[in-house]
Amino acid sequence: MTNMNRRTFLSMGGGVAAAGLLGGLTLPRAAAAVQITAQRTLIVVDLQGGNDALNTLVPQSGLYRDLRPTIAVPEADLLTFAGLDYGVHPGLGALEPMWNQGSVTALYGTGLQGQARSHFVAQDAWRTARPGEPARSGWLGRWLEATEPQEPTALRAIALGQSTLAAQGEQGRPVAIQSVEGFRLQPPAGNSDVTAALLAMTDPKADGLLAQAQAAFPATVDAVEQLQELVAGVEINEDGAIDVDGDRALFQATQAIIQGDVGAQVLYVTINGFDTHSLQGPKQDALLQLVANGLADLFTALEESGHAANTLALVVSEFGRRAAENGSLGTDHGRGGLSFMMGPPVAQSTLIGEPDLGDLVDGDLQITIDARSMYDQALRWLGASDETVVDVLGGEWNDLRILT
Amino acid sequence: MEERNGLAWLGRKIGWGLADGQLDEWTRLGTKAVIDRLVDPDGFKIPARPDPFSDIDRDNDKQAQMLALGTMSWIDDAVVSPRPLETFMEFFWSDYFAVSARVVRPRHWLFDHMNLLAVHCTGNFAELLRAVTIDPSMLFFLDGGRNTADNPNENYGRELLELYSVGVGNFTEDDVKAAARALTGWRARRRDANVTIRSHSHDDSPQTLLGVDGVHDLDTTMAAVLAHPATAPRVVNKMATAVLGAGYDMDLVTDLAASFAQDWELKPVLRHLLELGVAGRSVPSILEPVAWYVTARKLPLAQARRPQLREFFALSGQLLLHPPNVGGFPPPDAYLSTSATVARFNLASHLAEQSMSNASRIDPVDMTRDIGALAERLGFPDGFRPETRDALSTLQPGIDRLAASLASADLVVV
Repeated sequence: MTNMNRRTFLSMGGGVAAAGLLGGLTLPRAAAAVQITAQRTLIVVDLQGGNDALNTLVPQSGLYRDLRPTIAVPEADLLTFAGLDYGVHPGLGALEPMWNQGSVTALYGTGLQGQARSHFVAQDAWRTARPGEPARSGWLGRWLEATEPQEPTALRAIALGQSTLAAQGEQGRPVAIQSVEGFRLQPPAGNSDVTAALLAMTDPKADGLLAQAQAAFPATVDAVEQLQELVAGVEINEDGAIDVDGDRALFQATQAIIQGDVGAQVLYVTINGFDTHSLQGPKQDALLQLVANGLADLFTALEESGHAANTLALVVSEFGRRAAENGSLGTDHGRGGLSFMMGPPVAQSTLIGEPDLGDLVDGDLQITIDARSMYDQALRWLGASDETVVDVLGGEWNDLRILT
Repeated sequence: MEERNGLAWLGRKIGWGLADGQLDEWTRLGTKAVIDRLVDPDGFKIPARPDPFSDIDRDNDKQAQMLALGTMSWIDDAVVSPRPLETFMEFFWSDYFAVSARVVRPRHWLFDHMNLLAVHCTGNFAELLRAVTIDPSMLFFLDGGRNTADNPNENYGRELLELYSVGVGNFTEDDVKAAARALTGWRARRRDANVTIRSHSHDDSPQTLLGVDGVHDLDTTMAAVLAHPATAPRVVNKMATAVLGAGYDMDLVTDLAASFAQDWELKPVLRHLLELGVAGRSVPSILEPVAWYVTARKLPLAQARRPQLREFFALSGQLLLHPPNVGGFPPPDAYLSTSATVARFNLASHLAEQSMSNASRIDPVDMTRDIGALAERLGFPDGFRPETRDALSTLQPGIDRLAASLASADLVVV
């Protein structure tokens, strides 16, 4: 299939454009419905390490400053968002226009019951949505497999920054782009047939890990072919804006992929560095600014290109941190965290859940909102049926109304 | 022939590739003698690997460049290491006790960290754990240096229990607090990395850790975590997974864990695991990027250029001393990702191209003319799989054939 044909094919398989391209062909109702929702893109931004919730949206309670005599965000630095009774970390300033447009819902006290203070136990719980079970697949991976289209596209799910269990299915794994730079195949110079030879090495009788290893190359060629054009235009660090480990480019790549209309339904962006046991202030400042600016710029660009209405962002982190500071100008691991759902599909700018500093569990914010309630919303928005939601999340978690 | 296949596995999996003539030599020696030499090189007067960081100017103004030079030097030395099992284990422990160059300052402490791991890598786990606990890089990375009686910091105490000893499910939050308190007061001096315990910031009050009363300092903390019945099986399982692959038959190592808990000596464990592997009890796993690169370099290829090499490790997600988090690098099958696949393909192409340059010691056309010989050289005495062989035969000997064999799934699955 040539590139041109592939694109045409993808846009046909990918959405409402199909009707126009196919002219008079009538699609069955069910199929048409699936195709419309297939055009939607969910972006998950995973703040790995455990973002400190209390310094992100700062409660007015006097207990906050008692618990954090040295690392509380100074009153004078806090931003005010209209109608929000919490001080906003100055790093989140870029999100104010979206807040004012009614496109940001914050959720305080998110987590999964039973998750421990361990990074890994908590991350597994969030990513598998099956706390306490040794699941080998993620919630998005199971949804992707349950709704696999007949003609699969290489780019339905893309992990940016690092691969993630969340988007890994029982069988398949998402495309993972470690960094935007260098995501292109560079065969030896000249008229090399190396690519064709490697594609020919597949043994149809192979199984297990060997089969996966053999499948990796064709899948990669496919993904690179489609992504090359999109990410090639991404300029990195061009304006000296804040950048942590080159992660700013991940948001730019996210934009390029969505605007490229390649059928991406799940983009999972991992940002590292939130495990702030010491000298938390400057670290969290830089990271929050990176994420807020990245998302704000992304939605501005998607608005201009007409993609924003079909884009939903979910910002998560494996736990909030301990309510009291730890004496190293930082905070230790905790429980209840802070999540966001953002974008035009969000019904209104609001805060759900309240951190109760007077009712801590072992020094941590309680978990009052199950992460699966957000997942339930996101999956339904992506077009999942009741049955699929139950399969993927082990039940219905239909208690929140966040989206339009 | 069966023995030769077992030794080829040993070379590919543990040796990170085979040097020229090595498989023949190993076959002559026989399995037992080969494992003896791998496990106890001192006993055979095999020279120790020199300090890979000795030539690095630690005062280099460009500290990031200094670190990059050091990590590349470590990898270059791994290619020619006369003690490949020690290299394998040094890397294993650098992942087990992961510290990150994104955090640790000054960066050159990381060289000392690697050298510390090298000293203990096939020695005694109890000594290793104790040494790492007060290693300057670790004191910095997990905030042990900020853990004081007035302001305990749980970071190291938690990971000591969760990652380095008993594991999830075998400790409580009170144990974390107890471990943190017992380890208060340690500090590495920035000027010279001198490690001391400051009595005024050490909490010497008795704690109960993992059911053991009276824990109050480094030694009693170590004794408590080592006395716990979960520690030895967990460490053995980690090592067995690295050697035999995830999903190996755990019944094979039950007795091993019991004897390991008696003396914490690593050599008997390693010997047993290598014997199991050579006997065909390993399960397939993915050759990780560092191991894959060293394997490729054991062909007499020219050096990769530094920018390409750095891009390879960054893109594949396994840059030495830059783990994504405190848990270290992801499990090996993560390196089937698109990014890592791109990285392998590009570096295979680059290495093949470079080997055509004048600097190369061998003509890649000669090296790849006979596909069976090339397979043998890469550690496949029975040849590549038929599909691989057929596809390689469609390519001209030389750069293309070399690049395709290095990037093949045959080489990546071991």
